Amino acid sequence: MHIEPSFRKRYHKALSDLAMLKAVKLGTGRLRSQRAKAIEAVGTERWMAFRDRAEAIRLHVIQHLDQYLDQLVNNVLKNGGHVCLAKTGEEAVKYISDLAKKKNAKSILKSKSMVSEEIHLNPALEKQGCKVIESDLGEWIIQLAGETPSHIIAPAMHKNRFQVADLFNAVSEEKLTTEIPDLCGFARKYLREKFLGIDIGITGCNFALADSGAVTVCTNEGNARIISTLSPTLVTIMGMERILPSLEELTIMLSLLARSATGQKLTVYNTLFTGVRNKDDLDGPQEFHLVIVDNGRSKLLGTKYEKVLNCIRCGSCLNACPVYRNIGGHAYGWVYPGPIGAVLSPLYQGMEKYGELAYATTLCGACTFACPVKIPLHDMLYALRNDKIELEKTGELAENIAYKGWSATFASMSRYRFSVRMARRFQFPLVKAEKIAYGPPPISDWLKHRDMPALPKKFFHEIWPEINNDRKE
Amino acid sequence: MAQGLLTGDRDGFFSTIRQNINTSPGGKAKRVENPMDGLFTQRETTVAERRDLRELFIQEWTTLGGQAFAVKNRNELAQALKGIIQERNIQKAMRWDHPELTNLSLEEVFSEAQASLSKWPLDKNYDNWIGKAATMDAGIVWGEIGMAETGTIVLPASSPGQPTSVCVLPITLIAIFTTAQLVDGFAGVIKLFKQWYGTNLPTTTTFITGPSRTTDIEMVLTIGVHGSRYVYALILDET
Repeated sequence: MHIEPSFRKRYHKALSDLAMLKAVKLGTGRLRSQRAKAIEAVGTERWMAFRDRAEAIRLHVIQHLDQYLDQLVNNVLKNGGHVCLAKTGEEAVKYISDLAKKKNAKSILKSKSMVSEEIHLNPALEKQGCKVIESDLGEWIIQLAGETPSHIIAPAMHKNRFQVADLFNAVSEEKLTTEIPDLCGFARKYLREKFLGIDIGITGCNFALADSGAVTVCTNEGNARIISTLSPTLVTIMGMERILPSLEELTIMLSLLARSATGQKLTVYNTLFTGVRNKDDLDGPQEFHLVIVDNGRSKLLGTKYEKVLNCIRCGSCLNACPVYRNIGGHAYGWVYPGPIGAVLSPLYQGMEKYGELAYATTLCGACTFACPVKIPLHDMLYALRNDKIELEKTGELAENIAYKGWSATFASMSRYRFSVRMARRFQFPLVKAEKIAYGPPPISDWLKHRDMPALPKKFFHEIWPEINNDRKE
Repeated sequence: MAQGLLTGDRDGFFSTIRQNINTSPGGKAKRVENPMDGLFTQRETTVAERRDLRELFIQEWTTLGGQAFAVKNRNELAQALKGIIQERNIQKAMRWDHPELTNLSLEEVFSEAQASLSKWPLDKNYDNWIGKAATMDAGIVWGEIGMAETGTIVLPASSPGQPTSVCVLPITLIAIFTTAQLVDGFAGVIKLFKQWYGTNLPTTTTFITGPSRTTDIEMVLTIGVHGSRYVYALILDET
């Protein structure tokens, strides 16, 4: 196994941050138990029927993406909205930056958008003098901290109330307590003023509906709904796969999304909007821009990784993953953490940079089981390992020799017995208190965090004849 | 409405997608016909069944942190409303311009409770309606549909008199509707939406399921971050 130094540094840093680990364990544990209760209330059989239906819907949509996107684009244009088809993140950033310049926008408020994180939109807008404020509470916390999200639906999961109070006190005129309702009250008051002076609002997109050109955003706080109502110019950024044929399919996804993400029956605010306000309306956007982003998605179509485009970003695979629960989100390095991030990051950003994330898994399959749209995440992680090995074949001569030797030894009973006897005889310099305590790299890394029992005085195959004789007697 | 503008290379954008989709192994998945079948309750309800749905709605809405009242007539509604005005110390509120709300003469109730109630819009030439809505203690809307199984109010902004600002900005939201508006869940909503709108959806439709909430700090549930902190549902008997 070859792990890039950067990943090693990241997970080592994570493993030494005890406050973060405690917060992540608490958060993921709570989300998992809430999800389990929600599924119990629905009934396992019905839940499985929901998942099957959702998988079938997503598979159909992804395999007919051209048709549905075409229909969506036509309907948004017909409804008076503008559409930008961005092949790359840079194209999307340029379009939104140019729009901000054209509108002379000073104040830009955003609701949660993972794609905007993916394309690094905020720094580009800030560079041209815009004040960009994240309005989702968790996103605002990490924006103040200068960090990236550590969880798809709970971006500040790794922060405790004391850290949040410090961050809020830096922008507050009054000294705040560390009581959570007080902190949330401050956020409401502070951000409300910003909402009322908004020049451009930016939202993400949970699902776009092809047959009506409507966009759906789901929030528990209500921030996306305020933005879509108060922004004179509204921009929605969507990953091009986040599309459904009609309202009917949406009902299934909304039912699954809320239960999978937080265990709620429905998210508090599910808002559908079709773009610009009507002629006589006094609120709602006067201009609407839908930015549809490819940024590496189209190259997954028709490949063994196509199903990853089914993802509805509920985050339940993160909560289920024993690796995520022990290292948190930042160790994954890019925007998307957890098992879904370990698949998406190398596929979108390149195997060279993020291929090592294929090893950030135990391949236990908990992520696949948790996924509401049945993405075979652990199979994909296994496939990514194979791809990585294939890619690096020439550089892994020692590993190939080792595996060939191991294969030859274990294929023969006599060679196997000889080898383990030799290992037992020569293990003594490494053994301490019946455990192998030392070893050369790469075993030394493994031993830092785990115990490996020393080889026993007698192997099972050596004591088996005695046991067998006793049984016969 | 004027057609919007398209930016980007449409042919280039779609050609990559089409090219790659065509290589999909094993044929393409068919569209799921009637995707909601078997997953949601689909039925016509009687008046008695809708009274049961009201009980279910109240249970769900209350569990979520809202308050809900079953009221038999306009007098009981007025009493419940006065109770809310007192409980929340509401001085000024704003309501949708909706015929059902107009018929209930809510202005009288507010006047008797020493509070004021404005209707959106009083004057279209007034240029700061959003600012005005933001200063209100409460917003009053007509719940076009109530979903009992999830405790959800569906608010399509179907005319200029029914804006989102009234239900999004004030800290207290009061939704009034009758049992006739109640459906089991999504299947009932979709059926009505197909009848009312087809695929021409209103500019905004909001599904509200309880008060605004967050668990972003230490996973502790806190109510009322951006949206309404106090949510009330007043459900009249249908006539």
